[in-house]
Amino acid sequence: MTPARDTTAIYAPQASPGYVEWKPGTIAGIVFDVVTLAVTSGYAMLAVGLGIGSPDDPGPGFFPLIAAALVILCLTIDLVRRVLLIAGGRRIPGSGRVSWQVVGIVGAIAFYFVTLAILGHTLAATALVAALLFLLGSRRWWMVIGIAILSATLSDLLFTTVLGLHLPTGLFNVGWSEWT
Amino acid sequence: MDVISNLAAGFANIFDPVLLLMLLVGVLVGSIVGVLPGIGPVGAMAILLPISFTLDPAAGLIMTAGIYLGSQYGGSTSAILVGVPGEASSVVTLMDGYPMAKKGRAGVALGIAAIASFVAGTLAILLLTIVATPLSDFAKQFASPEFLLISIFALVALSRLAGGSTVLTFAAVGIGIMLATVGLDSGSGAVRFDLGLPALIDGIELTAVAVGMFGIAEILLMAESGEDSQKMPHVPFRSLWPGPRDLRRSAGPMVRGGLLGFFLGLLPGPSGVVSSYGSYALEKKISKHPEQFGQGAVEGVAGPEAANNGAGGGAMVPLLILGLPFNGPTALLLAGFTVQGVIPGPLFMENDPVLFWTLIAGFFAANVALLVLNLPLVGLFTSLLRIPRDLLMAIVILIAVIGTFATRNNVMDVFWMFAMAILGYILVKLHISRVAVMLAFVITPILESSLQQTLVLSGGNLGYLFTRPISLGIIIITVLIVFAPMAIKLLARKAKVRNVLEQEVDAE
Repeated sequence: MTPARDTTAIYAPQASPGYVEWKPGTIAGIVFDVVTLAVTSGYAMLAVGLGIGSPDDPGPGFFPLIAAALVILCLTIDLVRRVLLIAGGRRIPGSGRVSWQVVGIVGAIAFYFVTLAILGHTLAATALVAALLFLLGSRRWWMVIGIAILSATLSDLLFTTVLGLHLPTGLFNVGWSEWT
Repeated sequence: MDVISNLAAGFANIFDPVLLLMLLVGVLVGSIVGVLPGIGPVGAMAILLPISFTLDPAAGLIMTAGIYLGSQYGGSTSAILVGVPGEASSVVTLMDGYPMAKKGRAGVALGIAAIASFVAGTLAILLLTIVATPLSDFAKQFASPEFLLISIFALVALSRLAGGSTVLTFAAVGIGIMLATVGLDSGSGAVRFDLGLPALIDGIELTAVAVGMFGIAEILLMAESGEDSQKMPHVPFRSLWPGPRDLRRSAGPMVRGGLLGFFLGLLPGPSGVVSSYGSYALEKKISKHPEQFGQGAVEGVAGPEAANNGAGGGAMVPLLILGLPFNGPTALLLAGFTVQGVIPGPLFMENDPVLFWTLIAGFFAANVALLVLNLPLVGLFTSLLRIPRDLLMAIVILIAVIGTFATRNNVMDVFWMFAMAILGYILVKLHISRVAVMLAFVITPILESSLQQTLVLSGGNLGYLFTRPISLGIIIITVLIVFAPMAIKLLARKAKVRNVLEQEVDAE
């Protein structure tokens, strides 16, 4: 019996019919390794540029360079391991694709932070909640809009009036707090 | 009896109406979010932590502690009622708790879980109180070399215990460190990896990392499943109190589980999960009726629940005494401490004894609140599980983005939450540890500053570490952690081979 691990979702039931669950294979792992190695290499070059200093007087780039070296070493080992799997005919095929609900949620959150300063929290949150309800549920449009407006307004009220926080009101000044 | 008088003073402070209210709010809100499958204690704490930042240090920290304990208990409620673990360590509770519910004994299972959590939590706080002073005195001998090595020990131990590929877990540690180095370096004053963007000068906020990687990433994984909200049994309040036989059978497992959990909680890694599995295995082994396990044995609920809570208490020891978090929830607690301007560590008890002992008293009070609140409110929790999935996820995401933004009133934090959500989702899919990323992220400031100070102190000669007795001890333990699993596997394989050979000889 193996313990539940944070390498898997805390709750990950089998996908219901009609939903596609992405299960990455060896190639996806290689892509992850290559992309991360590329980013880490750029990071390492920037670290060197910050100044490594000397062992008895390390510069600001010293510790980041150690971190980069750790990542490069480990991912290179993993990359070689995966390539050897393919070469040995033991490639693990991937299956499925990223669910459109996942893409939609990510897109909705992106929309929120891109438009937050312009629309303000109440309007941006209304759009966020409406998008999420359309993506994840099957309610009628007027119910979706109603719930979205209500939850955005209540959240604004809760966080500004009760908790004393500032949330942006945007160019249209919609919301409970002043934003400068 | 200085400890007793300090503890008494802590309890006296707790009875402040504002602190009590914040404690109750933390426990209640933590339990509610913990009940919701998929969020987990780390996600729950991450989402709710920004709310505590608006309060004064004692109230904020006590509320955070309440959220921590509440979310741990909440996870077992959904495990028992619907067979869906609210968090990783509730998987073990499910193994006998859900069968109990199917037999109409859901109330007993919930009651035993609550009592076991209370007993273990109380035991853990008692042990914490006993060890706090001598351990704190011992930890005062720690200097930068010891902090460097214990940070490395924590990350190495986590990599060995987290499961999955050790190489990838070390890579995750490196990624966490890289993320933590973005922005202003307090040591040298240099701005690192800002790519010329003013928004990156402030670095990446821990809340964004935690909420994104654990809260939102779990939502993304839930969205893939398409599961609808669950049907669950109605649990009348009067059925919550277990009978004398159940209590008698649970007493031993509660104490054993609590002690096991506390001592495992002192170690880095997923101590809640490890201790709950360890307790289950122990109780099954020593039980007179092991065949009942998995069919609704009350010991299978009492032991693991106690172990889980005991581990939570044990994990407080390195956090409060050394200032080092050894797992995800305590990493977030450290974030809460930092924002409130409180520095846990060897001098915490000496420099701020009032806050220290108020916190200890607060943990005990949170335990009592869990028992008193959660049983009568089980009806509320079960109704939460009936919330339509789409509404639930939309509201959780909304709270998450607002909470993340509100930490520093900075929209860049919401971007980082978004980026970490994608990273967390990918890490789960590739079976790479997210806790390793987050723990490394939190430990990096301590790790970097102690490395630099050690190098300056030693003139760049790391052999200096071997000349210090405590450092040498930590190095030996770290090496054992690295090689012990391999040695155990090798010995087990040799024993298996020997058994096979003996059987062949006997056959001849």
